[in-house]
Amino acid sequence: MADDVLITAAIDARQFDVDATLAAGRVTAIVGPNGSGKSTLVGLVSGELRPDRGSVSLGLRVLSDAAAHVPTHRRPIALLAQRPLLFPHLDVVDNVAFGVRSRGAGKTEARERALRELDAVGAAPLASRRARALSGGEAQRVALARALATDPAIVLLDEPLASLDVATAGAMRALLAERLPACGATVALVTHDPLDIWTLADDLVCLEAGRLVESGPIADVLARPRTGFLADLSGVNLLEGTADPHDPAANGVLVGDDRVLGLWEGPEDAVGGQHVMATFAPSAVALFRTPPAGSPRNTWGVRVVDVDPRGATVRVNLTVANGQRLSADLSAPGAAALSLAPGDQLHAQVKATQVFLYPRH
Amino acid sequence: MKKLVASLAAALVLAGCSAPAGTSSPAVASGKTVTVFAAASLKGAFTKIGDAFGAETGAKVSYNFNGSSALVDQLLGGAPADVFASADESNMKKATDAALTAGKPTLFATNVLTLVVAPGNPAKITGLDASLDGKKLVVCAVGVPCGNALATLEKNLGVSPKPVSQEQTVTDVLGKVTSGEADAGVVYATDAKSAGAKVTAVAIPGSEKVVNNYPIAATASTKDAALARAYIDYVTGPKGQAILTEFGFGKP
Amino acid sequence: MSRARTPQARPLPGWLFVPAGLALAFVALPIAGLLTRVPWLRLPALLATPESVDALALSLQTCAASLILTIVLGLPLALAIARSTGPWAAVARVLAVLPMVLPPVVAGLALLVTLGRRGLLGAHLSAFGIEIGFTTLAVVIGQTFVAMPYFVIAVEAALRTLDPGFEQVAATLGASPSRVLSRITLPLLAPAFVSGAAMALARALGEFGATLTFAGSLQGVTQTLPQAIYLAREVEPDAALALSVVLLGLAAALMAVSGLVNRAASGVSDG
Repeated sequence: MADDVLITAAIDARQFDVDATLAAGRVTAIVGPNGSGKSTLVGLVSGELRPDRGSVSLGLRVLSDAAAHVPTHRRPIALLAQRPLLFPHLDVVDNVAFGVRSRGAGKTEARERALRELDAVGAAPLASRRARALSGGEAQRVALARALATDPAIVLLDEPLASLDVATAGAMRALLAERLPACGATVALVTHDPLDIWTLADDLVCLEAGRLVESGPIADVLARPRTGFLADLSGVNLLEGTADPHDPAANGVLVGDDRVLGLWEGPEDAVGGQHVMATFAPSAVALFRTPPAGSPRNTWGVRVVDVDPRGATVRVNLTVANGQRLSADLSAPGAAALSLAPGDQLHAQVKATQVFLYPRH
Repeated sequence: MKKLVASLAAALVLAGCSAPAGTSSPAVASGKTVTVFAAASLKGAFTKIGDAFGAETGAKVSYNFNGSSALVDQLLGGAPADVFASADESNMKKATDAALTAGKPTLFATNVLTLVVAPGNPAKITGLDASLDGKKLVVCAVGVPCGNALATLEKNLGVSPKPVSQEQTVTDVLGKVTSGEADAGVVYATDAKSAGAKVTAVAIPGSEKVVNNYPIAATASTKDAALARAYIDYVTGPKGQAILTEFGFGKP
Repeated sequence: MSRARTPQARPLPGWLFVPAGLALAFVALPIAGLLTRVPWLRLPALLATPESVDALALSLQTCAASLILTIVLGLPLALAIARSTGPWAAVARVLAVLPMVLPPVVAGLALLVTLGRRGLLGAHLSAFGIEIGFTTLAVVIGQTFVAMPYFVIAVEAALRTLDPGFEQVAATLGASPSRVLSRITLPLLAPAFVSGAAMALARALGEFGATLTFAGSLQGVTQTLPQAIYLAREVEPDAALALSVVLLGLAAALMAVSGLVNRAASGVSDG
């Protein structure tokens, strides 16, 4: 029953121009920095926004284009936002039945459907409670039931866990992980949380400044991040540079005047001058006051931006000579021994076997 | 609070000083002020009388024009006045009964009721008679002086016209006619006169028998009984009477 | 809820209660003064006169009619101006509340020159034999004219502070704009609706200037409570005081309703 959602749309006022697909029956995480266009994408699918050019369609059915615009209430969608937004004047079961009734079901039928959905989210005992008498977690559970009770073809989740505390968010995340695949809908999940992405999403769409910068299955996209935002999201360092024109295979990547060596993972051999990304874990970075002697050839001058203690480890944020950022995770004693302060000039070293090199698209 | 009153008083004194006083004749009451509480219907005539009186005596006349009953309320509340001129005897009686006046009131003018209609009398109204059938007549409410006078007149004439509205004041009656909302209204002859060309007056036969008397009296609280007396004498004297006639009032 | 249990959460400086007390006395004293002059023992007799009974009955009837007009016309207006943007909406917003700040007599004059026999519209209506002046309809029109802004402003303010999320979610659940309005927006507006209606009703009860200028005054037809009080002031001051007490009582009851509803509504959003 599910269909792809195809968004090929531009909105000039928002400097938004994106061509993206939400694959049928899968959960696509929509990520990107603030203001990158995630809400615009959701608004285009929900019908709140209309593209200046291009179209939004569900399978073969056009939802929005230059000629037509299906209004929100005629789209087979459901929305679960950061806040539950339960209707305060209705009780729980009437909240859940509201959408079913709106889509034409009779009173009894809608009530039965609502009760079934409440049961599915483990909120059946709340059925007769007033909406305003619920806790935040309960309310969000009921809001999920309300969204799914209409059997939507598209489910839009706009940071559904962002306003919940950690424990409640965990339970809600588990509930989503159970209910989303079961409902069979095509799902868009806007989130900032890597945990949401890894546990809930199948695919990922990354937007920056109103443009699509990356999309694909989660594992592919996050394992070899091609933007700083995705690198941050997956917790790895990302340096961008160009393949050495003289001997790209052996001599690695030039990041400014620094040379980064690693394992080439491109589908084809590297070409001199090609735009290349290098990723490595912060835990792979070692820091020295004086230039280290010995085998690893990946040694760069770095400057300390700040030091961020995180329990047993210390995250040291650094910049390389040409200004790109990287981080090093040191053991607390190791960091103490270096007595780091912002502005310190150090030497960073990473084993070439822990660096992955791959071309940018 | 005292300070506020003081500065108000100062402002009044200053206003009195700067007002044009009599220039030619010797100023017998130069710089003094007589405060007159007068019925609203007297506004035109009394303003002119005040100017003439001031020019002759050098006194300044300060007026408070309002409905007669409102003026009585103000006097009861202790408002400072030297002279009270009422549009009817019943309100004057209220004042004298409350010992607000000094001496017996003097009648100084009369007024009679008249019909006013649109200019040129397009509806051809002839009096409180069948010519009013189907026309919109506005009168004063019973209880206010002009309404009471009308009630007496209707009784005398043996008629009972059906008004569409019984207004609180003569001004409201006149307003309804000049705005064209009503076809005819019953007001005082002086009101008809002051409305000028905006209305045509149609005399009501028999109205001369229902005369509204205007009494005037000095107040008990006056600080300058001589000046109050002088003002009253002026109003009842030939010069005052001439001005009253000019504004449509009858002789007492 | 929590506010009641922690009254000292936001303490006020003590001196503030001096001017606050003065302000309260400023409005309460004249009302207390009025009440001391009311001939309480003769109140039933004074209110039982045909003039008083007619005035009270007429006021209640006309106010009921003007309240219905106010809601039927004011609600769509409030919705339209709350949801519109741009210069025309701004103009409409000003126009909609203008009668609130208009001196009563000006309101009357405005109605007169518009709906009067020689008025802009009235002249045309008159040609069809429809004349509004001196009719009970004129009273209702006058009351609606001055009272509607109170309703519109209350509902419009509530609409603009209403969380748009509720309506957006309702739309995603398949509710048409009409269904969103009737099932979501209006129920959420209920407190503002009731308090705005109470304010408008109170204002209509007290309407004087427009009626005086435009509708005239005839017992049982156009003589409402305020008109009767104004006239009785001249004729029978005790009756004026007695009717004033009735008006005061009605107004106080309506303000209490408005206040209670507002309090209940804000309590809800606290919780």
